[in-house]
Amino acid sequence: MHVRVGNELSEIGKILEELKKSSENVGAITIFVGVVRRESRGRNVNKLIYEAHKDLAEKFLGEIASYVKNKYGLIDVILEHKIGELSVGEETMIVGIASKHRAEGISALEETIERIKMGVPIWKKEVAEEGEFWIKDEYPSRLQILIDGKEARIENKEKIFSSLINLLGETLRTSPEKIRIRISITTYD
Amino acid sequence: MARVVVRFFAWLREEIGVSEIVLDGLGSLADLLSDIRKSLGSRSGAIFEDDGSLRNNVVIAINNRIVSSERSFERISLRDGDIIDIMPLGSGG
Repeated sequence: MHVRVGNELSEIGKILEELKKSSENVGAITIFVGVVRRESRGRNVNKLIYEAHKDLAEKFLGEIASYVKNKYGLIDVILEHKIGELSVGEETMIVGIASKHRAEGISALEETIERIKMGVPIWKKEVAEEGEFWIKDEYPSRLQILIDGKEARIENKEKIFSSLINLLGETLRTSPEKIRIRISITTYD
Repeated sequence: MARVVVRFFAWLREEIGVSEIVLDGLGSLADLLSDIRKSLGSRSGAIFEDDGSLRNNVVIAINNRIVSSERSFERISLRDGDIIDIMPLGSGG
């Protein structure tokens, strides 16, 4: 397992080899690579500038790696995030997961990416034709709220909590005997 | 007397116009924040609400350890050489 925040990312081939070598029981390697894209929020991006609190970011990445490794019973986890100026098409981040089977690897990959995006002190600034913009409140592009398996309708991402309360109220009205309700909130980007 | 270094990150640094300051003679973390708020004046809005509490998208770490509860700020005594980091929530990926 390794985590790194720096000016370079490892080559994908090396990540793959490291994950494969972690155990003879590896049956699936799941890898995510983030890439700088040209269009963002209707703007034409020329480059991204990533800044980090390196010590804390690596500490948090280590905690995330340990957490998902234990939660999903993974064999190995590699997390790397690039900082500095990155051009369009350049890789920003690598998440590599070695698991016994694909299912836990794929689930773990999704949660790992979300945790990195939300909770690690790494910040990005878009340098676009329209100016420079720090990305401050990055809402996930998709957010799903389930209460007992029923999905809340979210018309506006800023009204997440009112959507949640509405569905919760409806669930309690239709099933007032319930004392336990399972709520699941999932975000995707 | 505690001499501490306070560092600011990302857009907080740009909005207040300074990346690092050194402060002397402070007792608690609450004292430090109060001092920073006064010295920043109108620029303090990047970090503090009007009532002086921290904005909910601001995180503080002392010597690379996150201080999570604002209620504990008065009980946290600063020591000579401490490094206090004031930063926004992350937006990596």
